[in-house]
This record gives sequence, C-alpha cells and structure tokens, in this order.
Amino acid sequence: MDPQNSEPQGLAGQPISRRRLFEVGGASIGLAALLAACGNSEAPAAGRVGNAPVATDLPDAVVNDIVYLRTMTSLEYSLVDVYAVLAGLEGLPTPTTDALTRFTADHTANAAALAQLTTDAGGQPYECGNAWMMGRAFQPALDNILGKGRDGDTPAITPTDDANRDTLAMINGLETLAAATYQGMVEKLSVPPVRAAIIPFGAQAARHAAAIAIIAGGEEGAARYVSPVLLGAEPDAEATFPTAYAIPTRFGQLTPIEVTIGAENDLGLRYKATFETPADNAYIYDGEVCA
Amino acid sequence: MDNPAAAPRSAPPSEPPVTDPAATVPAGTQPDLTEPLSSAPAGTEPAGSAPAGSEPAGTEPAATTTTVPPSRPTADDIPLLAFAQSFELTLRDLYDEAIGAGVAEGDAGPVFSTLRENHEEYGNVLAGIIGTDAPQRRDDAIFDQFVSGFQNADVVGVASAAYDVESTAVATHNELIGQLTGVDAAATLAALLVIESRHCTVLAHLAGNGEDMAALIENAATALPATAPAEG
Repeated sequence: MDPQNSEPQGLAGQPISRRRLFEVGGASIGLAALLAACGNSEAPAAGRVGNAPVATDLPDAVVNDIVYLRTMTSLEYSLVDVYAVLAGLEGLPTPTTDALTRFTADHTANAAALAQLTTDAGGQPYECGNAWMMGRAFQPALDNILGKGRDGDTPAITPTDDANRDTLAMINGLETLAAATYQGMVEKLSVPPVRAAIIPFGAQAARHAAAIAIIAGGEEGAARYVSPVLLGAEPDAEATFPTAYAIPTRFGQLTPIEVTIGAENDLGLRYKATFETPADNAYIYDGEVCA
Repeated sequence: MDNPAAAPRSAPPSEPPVTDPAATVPAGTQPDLTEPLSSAPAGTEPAGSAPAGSEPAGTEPAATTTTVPPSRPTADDIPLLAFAQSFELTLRDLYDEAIGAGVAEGDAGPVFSTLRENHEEYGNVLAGIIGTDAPQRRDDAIFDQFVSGFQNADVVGVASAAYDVESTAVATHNELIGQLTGVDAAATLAALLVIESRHCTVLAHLAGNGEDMAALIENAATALPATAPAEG
C-alpha cells in the first residue's frame, strides 16, 4: 500500500466512501448514546474481593448527661487500674505508696457515687475502665515505666530509671486530668444539680494533685507551693522533667497535660505522655458494655 | 478594708434567693437525663425566650421545643454571682489584713500574696460576667467572721485561718454551681474552685499538717448561704 496515497478501506479491502464513513460513524454515536441512557448515572462502586460482609452505617450516637456520667465513671475506674499497676512497683517510698492507697480508695468511692448518679438518672452504669483512654494514653505511659518487650516491629521499651519519680509524675498528671475533666463537665452537663454533684470529685482530684506536687518536693516541699510563673518568672523550658506545683495556674486549665517519664532512649529523649480530657471518641455511649 | 478602686454598684441585687444547703440530686426527683443535650430541663430557657404555645399565628409549632442551657447568666443567677464576687473580694481583703500585719515578710510571703492576687482576679472575672450589677466590694459579715485569724504575722496561725475560709469558699461555690442556670458562670466558678481547692492543700501543709493526708485532701467545710453582700 502506498502510504502517500492511502484511503480508508473496509474489512474486505474495499475503499470506504465518505458517505459510508458518515453512516457508520452516526450509527456508532447513536448506539453509544442509547447505551449511556440505559446505564446507571452513579459512579460505579469499588469492586469487592472475597466475602466481606456488607458495611452498615453506624447509628447516630446521642450525647447526653448519662453518657457524660458513664464516661466520668470510666475515668475513675481507669485511675484505679493505673494506680494498681503503679502500686506494684518495687522500691516506692512510703509517702508515695500511702498516696496511692488513699487515692485509690477515693477514686473507687467516686466511681460508685457516679454509678449511682447514672442509675438515678435512668442510665446503665459503666463500671470499668475507659478502653480508649487506657489504650492510647495510660497504657503507653505505663509501658514506659514498667518496660516492655519487643512487639513485632515495635522495639522494646526499657524500664524507667526512677520508678518513684515517674509514679509521682503519673499521679500528678492523672489527678490534674481528672480535675480538668470534672471542671469541663460542669460546662457540658445540662442539669445544675448534677453539675454540683460531680464538681466535688474535681476539687478532690485537684487537691490530690497539689498534695503529690508537695510530696514530690520531699524536704523542699514548700518550694512546690506556687509556680514561679505566677510570681512573674519565666517557665523553665529547658527542664527535662517539668516541675509540678501545688498551685500551677490561676484558673483550672482544660488544656492537654504532658507528663515526661521513662528512661532515656537511644536519642537521649524520654517519653512524653499526653493526657486529654475525654471527647467524642472517649465517651462511653449508651449501649457500650465493659469488654 | 474596702476596695478603693471598686466601681459603685449601679443597682442592688434583686431578691436574694434562698439557698438549699444540700445541692444534691434528691432521689426520685432527677430530671430526665436521657434526653439529648439539646433538651434543656424546665426553667432553663434563656431569658426572653418565647413561652411554649406562643407561636405567632400562621406558623407551624416546632416539632420539639429544644434549647440548650443559656450561656449568659439569667436574672436569677445575678444575685448568686454577686454573692460569689463579694466572697472573693472578702478573701482578698482578709489576705490584705495578714500581709499588712507582716505575714508576707517571711518565706511564705509569696504564697499569701499569690492567694491574694488569685482572689482579686476571681472577683474581676466574676464582675465581667455580672456586669454593672457586680457589687465590687467585700461582704462585711463574712469578713468579720474570719478576720481575727488574719490580723497577725504568724504563718501557721494565718494559714490555719485561711484554710478555714478557703474551704468555706470551695463549699460555697460548689453550692452555687448547683443553683446557677447560665453555663458561663458555672464554668467560671468551676475553674476557680479547682484552684481554690489547691489553695486549701497548700495552706494545710503550711499550717503544719503535711503528714496528715486527710487534712491535705479533704474538705469538711459547710457552705455559706448566698445573701446580698452585707455592708459594715
């Protein structure tokens, strides 16, 4: 075939006339339009592989006072669980173990009181720890105190080099978290008498935190009364372990609480746990039961 | 000691409410907490909201009458907040008495000056919420009740007296939180209450009770009833 003088040819090798070309082209366009009209205009779903069950939408979760009460109860149980682990550490001095014993009793009583408030309000008490907070905040912190073996690709964690220092830091952080949680719940709860019923737990947690800050100061406990920031000093941004003070701020804060614990890693850094007040993912919704 | 810089109150608080000394949830009287937050308990509608059944002619009634608790204090909240503010300014003035007597000249000076500053700031914040109805002065009845313990330079003595009045302030604010409808004011009281609780622990330690865990963390004080601030 002469490429310089080629013409379109049919299947039989016959030249295709311009008229024939328009006829075939028009028929193709019409067929394409017909198929498009009969097809589904929605984007095709992704193909499925295997026998995975059909996904169903999650129900809308209602957030009400009962959910808040159940969540507060779960936080109390979480603190009891964490303190039980910390109390098992060897070598803790008496002031620390005494504080753990007393605070555990207080949080156990608080959990029972909150469960009763939940029942009184027509809800089902949630009488175990908060899995979300435990899994994402508390357990990793405990791992950096107790140490943990290699887990798959996750390297081993060296146990802490100072169990008492980290225990006191954990208690201070957790009690500050509890105080902030109750403070924040006052704003969320819809019924004033329920606000009044829960804020004493926040006041108590704040006093726990203040007492631990003083205990952590040992013989220099009086130096831990008031944060130097309240006296006009600049915060010590270089400190490896931020010093806890009995009166750290002028108003209760709802900001995340950072706790530095654990042994130094290969980079010379220590683990920083961040504790945040419960939010949507940490709420214990109606229908959730203890695992 | 009155605050010389205090702005005069533009109007006296309205009828002071009678406080319920036991702001707990009585069994069998709880509101329905199973409702979503958007459903406010009766009586918590913001001031000025239309009463039920008052829809204009020709409009469809709402399917549900749902409101959230008001942010701003209601008219009934104002006297309660005025009492809280005067209590805070009373605490400030009590610390001024101790500082004037020389208690701040020792190592514990920064503690007492910090507590004094905190209470003045709490009074300022409450004044901001109350507005022109803020009393801007102490309650002389409360001041007179506690002042004798503050008029000396003995750290332990002042710390003990301060512990008593701070514990009373915490218990009183707790009661007020149970009576306030407006969320902003309740949240503010909660934010200062948790720090005043820490004040109590510091004062217990400063008063020589550092070995007594119960003294460090328990509050056995009784709330004062909210009344219009008394003038001397």
